[in-house]
Amino acid sequence: MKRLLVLSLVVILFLSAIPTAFASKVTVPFWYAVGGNAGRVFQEMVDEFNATNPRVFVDAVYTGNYGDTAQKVTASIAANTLPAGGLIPAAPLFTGRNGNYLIDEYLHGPQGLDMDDFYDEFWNYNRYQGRIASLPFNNSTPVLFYNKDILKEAGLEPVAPETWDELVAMSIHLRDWAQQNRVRNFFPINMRNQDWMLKGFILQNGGELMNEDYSAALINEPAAVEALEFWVSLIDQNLMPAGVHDRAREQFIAGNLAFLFDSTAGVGSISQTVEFEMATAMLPGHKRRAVTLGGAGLTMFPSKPEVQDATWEFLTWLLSPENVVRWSSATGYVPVRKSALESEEIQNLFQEQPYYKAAFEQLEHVVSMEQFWELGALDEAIVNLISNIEYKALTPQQAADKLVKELAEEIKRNR
Amino acid sequence: MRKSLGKRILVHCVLIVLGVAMVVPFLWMLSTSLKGYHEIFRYPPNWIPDRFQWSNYLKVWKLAPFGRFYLNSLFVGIVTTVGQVITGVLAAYAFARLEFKGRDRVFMLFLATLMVPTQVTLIPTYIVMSRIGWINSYQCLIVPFISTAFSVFLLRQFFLTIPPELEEAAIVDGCSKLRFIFTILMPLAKPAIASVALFGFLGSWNSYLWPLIVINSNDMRTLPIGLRYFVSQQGGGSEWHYLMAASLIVMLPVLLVFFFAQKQFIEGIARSGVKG
Repeated sequence: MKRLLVLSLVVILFLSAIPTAFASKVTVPFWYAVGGNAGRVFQEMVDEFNATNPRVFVDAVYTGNYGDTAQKVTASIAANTLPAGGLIPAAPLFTGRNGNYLIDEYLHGPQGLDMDDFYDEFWNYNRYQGRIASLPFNNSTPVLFYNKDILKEAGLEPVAPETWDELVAMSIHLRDWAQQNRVRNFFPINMRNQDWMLKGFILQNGGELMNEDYSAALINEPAAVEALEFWVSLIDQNLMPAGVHDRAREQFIAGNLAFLFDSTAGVGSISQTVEFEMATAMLPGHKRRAVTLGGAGLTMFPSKPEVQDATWEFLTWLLSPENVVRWSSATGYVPVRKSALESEEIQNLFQEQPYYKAAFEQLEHVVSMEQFWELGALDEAIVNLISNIEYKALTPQQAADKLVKELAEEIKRNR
Repeated sequence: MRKSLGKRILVHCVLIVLGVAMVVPFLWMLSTSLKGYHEIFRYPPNWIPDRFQWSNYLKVWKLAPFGRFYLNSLFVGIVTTVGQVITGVLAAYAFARLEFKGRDRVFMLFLATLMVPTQVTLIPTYIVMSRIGWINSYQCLIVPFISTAFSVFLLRQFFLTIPPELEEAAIVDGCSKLRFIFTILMPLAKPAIASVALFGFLGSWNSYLWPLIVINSNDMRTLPIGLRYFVSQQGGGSEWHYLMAASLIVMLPVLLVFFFAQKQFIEGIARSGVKG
């Protein structure tokens, strides 16, 4: 018994001595919220940074998906055990909202980034009350995937629809073809992350989601309600299934869809998986072209000055044009820098894997919102609204009015 | 007394249906874990993979430090279980046998904690842990779960069924209270202790949210977090074949324990039934 005690003491002493081996290095605790393939690519990049950087050690830890990470960060804010930096969802809400604008300070400091090389809409997405509170990195946009084999089989030209009208016309043709040929389990269209896609439809119809100062939702205005009606018409005409949007990607991979609305971040894995000829295209437009923006952001939390400097060094390293290219081509997240999009590597990627082209080239049509506290509530409300209108519990106008009212109450509670 | 043939056929039909319902998900898991990614969502589904991808298992083992996660899970699970049994037996003995003022009220209060969902206590517990400086440590994974109202309740109910004369006789023979608990009461309460241990171990083995939140370094993480490495955000899509292979690896020890110990569980319950 005594021996065991001594032994364990020795082990503990030994373990506690390990960190001193790194004493000459600055350690940067860093949390990231991307799993699967993207998570592995990120970890590889961290390892490379650590291997080539003698002074800084980034201790990167995967913290689960966006929801899990948000919980972890919330708990850590309460207990003051935050890391030095992170790749976390809704980052401005965890930083700017608490008065932490370290990113803005460093961005405008001597070691700042060339801000003009990033798309404005990306900066917008990382603002809280007008100030930048995080950096764009793993951003994605929705894109249209289509099954060329099915289009050909149904006697259509294998090209993507450019407008809502073309999308509907092609889908009606496909629906009738499937009926005549008894193709089972087939739907022309389905969409993954339906709330995100509906936002896109509203914008494409010239509508708006929120007012200027993010104090009220505008989803019950005529242009937005028209988009909801269009959505319902897809269901009514049997062009899209009601309710099973979270299975959309699997349906497409199984060959049961002609058109899939999904994230650009899925381009890599979908194109490698399908057993038919597929392509991607920009989302069809209506009154205008518009795509929404998603993803998490890079950010910093207050720590010792030398740790903050080291964190900033790591973040700017991640955002160097070469690394942005590497990250985008390995994952399908869009390149956040203009110079990255124009780079030779990305242009070569377009040649070899044309699926990336549409996904990356629609960046000029990105429309983004600043981060505001009720954004999560808005997204959840849109998901509810969609099931309400799809199952005819409410008309589009009623559902939109309900959403606007509920969000107004939520805003009143918080401000 | 033999049941009629019709009745037995009926019983067996129901059992077969239930049995199939239990086994199919496991077989589906096994099948998915051996498929290539493109086969997983094929419709109509295929049960036998085109080519058995045994490499999925190897890959999973390499993609995340599962060996380490295994050790952590085992260590945390065993220590938590032992702790729960020890604290549970002592507390249950006190509530079942000792006479003190307000005993039943304290017990009710204890039971009331069963009603409080973990999500509510998450942040307060987290703050307590961080004040003690235990964030990112094994203690933090173990100590908050070392005593549960459920195990105290279960053991107390069981102790009440053991005749008090037994203890009186032991004490007359010069046995101390502690010695009575460890040499007489615990062996008698084996079935109840087995249940407490099983629930304790499973609870710890499956726990996800707490370890995720309090552990910040990879070498102290447990298996459920390892599984999360294959689930991804909106973008990439989960890697179901890896996820299923990893899940099978994680489930294996629990399945084995069930498989080998089920005889004892059933015996324990049967024996305690005879006694009661």
